[in-house]
Amino acid sequence: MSISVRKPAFLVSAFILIILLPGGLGCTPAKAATVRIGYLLGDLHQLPFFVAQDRGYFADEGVNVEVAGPFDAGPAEMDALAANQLDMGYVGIAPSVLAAARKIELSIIAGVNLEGSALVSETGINSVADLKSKKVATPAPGSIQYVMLGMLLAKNSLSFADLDLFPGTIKPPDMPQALQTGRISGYFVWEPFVAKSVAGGYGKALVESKEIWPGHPCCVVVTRNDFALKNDNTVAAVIRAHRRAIDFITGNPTEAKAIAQKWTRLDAAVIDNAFTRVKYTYALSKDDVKRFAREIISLGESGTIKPIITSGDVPDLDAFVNKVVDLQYIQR
Amino acid sequence: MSILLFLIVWEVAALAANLPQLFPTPVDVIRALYDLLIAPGPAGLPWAGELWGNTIISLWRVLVGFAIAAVSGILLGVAIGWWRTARDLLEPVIEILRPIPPLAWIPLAMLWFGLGFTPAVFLIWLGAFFPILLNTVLGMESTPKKLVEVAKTLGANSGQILFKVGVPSAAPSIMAGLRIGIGIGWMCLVAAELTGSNSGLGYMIMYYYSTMEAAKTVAGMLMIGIIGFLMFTALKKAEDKLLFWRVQP
Repeated sequence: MSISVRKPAFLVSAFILIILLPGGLGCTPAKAATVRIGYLLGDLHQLPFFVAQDRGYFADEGVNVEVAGPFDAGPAEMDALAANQLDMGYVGIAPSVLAAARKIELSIIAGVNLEGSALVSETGINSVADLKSKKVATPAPGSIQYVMLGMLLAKNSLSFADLDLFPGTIKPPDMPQALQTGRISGYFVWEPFVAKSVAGGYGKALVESKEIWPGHPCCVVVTRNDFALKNDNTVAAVIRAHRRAIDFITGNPTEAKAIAQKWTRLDAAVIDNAFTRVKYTYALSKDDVKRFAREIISLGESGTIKPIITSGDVPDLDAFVNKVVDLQYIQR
Repeated sequence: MSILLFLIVWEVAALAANLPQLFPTPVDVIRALYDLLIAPGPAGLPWAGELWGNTIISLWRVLVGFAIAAVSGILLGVAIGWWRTARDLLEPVIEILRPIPPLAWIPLAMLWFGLGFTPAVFLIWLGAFFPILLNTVLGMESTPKKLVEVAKTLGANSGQILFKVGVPSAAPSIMAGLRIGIGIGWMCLVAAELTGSNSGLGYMIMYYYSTMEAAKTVAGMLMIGIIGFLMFTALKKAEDKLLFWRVQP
């Protein structure tokens, strides 16, 4: 073949390639990063996660979320994180601190909510001391409600030994019914399962968690360190979506409550009641995390609760908190 | 020797995995066993230490559940295996209930019996009852007709035939049923205690799973295995003594 025939063929091929190439590079969307996020069963505190899912905030940031769970309590979620079944999670601050104290490589990177739990009791009970020898349920040992019940008892010069405690035996959604049928006399749990008994008229919020520690951090967002190292942008994107969700809840409470109803499957009256006790914020304070760790340690040392973390596990609290709490994502 | 080899393989695998929170080494577990031995026991048994205190509580639940299962299973099994009326009446109901795993009864157990001792005993009873019942029925039905006829010829009444021919003939099968029953009952223990208890070995395992102390969780599991093995061995020895007329292979 002479060059005069090959040249046009070459030019046509080059022309076609040049037309197609930009399409190949720019017009097809980049593959969305995938992240497995865990959350807790019916937990109103984790509304930002539900909102971000429903309103597509994660998708807007180019993140594909695989929902893992829900989990009955924080410690189970942290076990899944440790076993690499999760990349990030919405979870209580106590289980995250516990997992970190057990040398699981995770970081606490954003707040989710403050307060929002309570000790619910039968309507006939008037003080914490009235619960002596009675059956009281909490989520699993190591959950924030378990720890805060310990803090409340310590304030009343009581300990877990004074109650007939059932930690982790009854799932949070089943606690209101257990109270109603008289199987237990009290329970300490996250919203909306406080409101369920209160709205139902068979329970009362004997002590709200904010009375034990005003403004206490409750749920946080955590990430596995190895995941964050390799997927820094994805983690940042998730937190951006998370912040957007919190802003939405603050500015649009009615719509937020509708989403809450959908995810918790409870009616409007219960959600309304529950909302009065929960404060949403993505702010996170190292001092608060440090205080929580110190509380868990000292409750165990004083014998109020069975020791979960000892000062031997965390000899230098400041170094521990500096390592575990990573504020960069909420500051970006 | 095989246990030693097993321990070595375990130690190496655990060190290689390097996830002490999830995969403890044998050394970690032995240390955990020691810690559990000296830690104060559960409510009502503080002197027994955590490990033995919870073991005693679990053992008590299983023995009560098993005893009820043995009495109810053998009585019903003899009736069904011996009298056609009883079989026709009861067998359909039993055949429907039998395939339902004890775990499926957990919500009902908690609804009917609340928390603590009773629902756990109920679930253990459920687990142990059916093997005992079925083996008793089988044993009774397998009574050689010839023996019954010989007894009749010798002038025995129906009561004597039942208790001197039927039941002894069924005895090996009944004992086998009891051995299987206690095994399943013991296995149901963990499930039974995971929902509705705040004491016992099953609860202890759940507690240390939650506080992420894997070594203590495994120590609890080990205790369950050891106690199960001891119960099984004890029953086998009792069986050999009671059924002394059997020719040992």
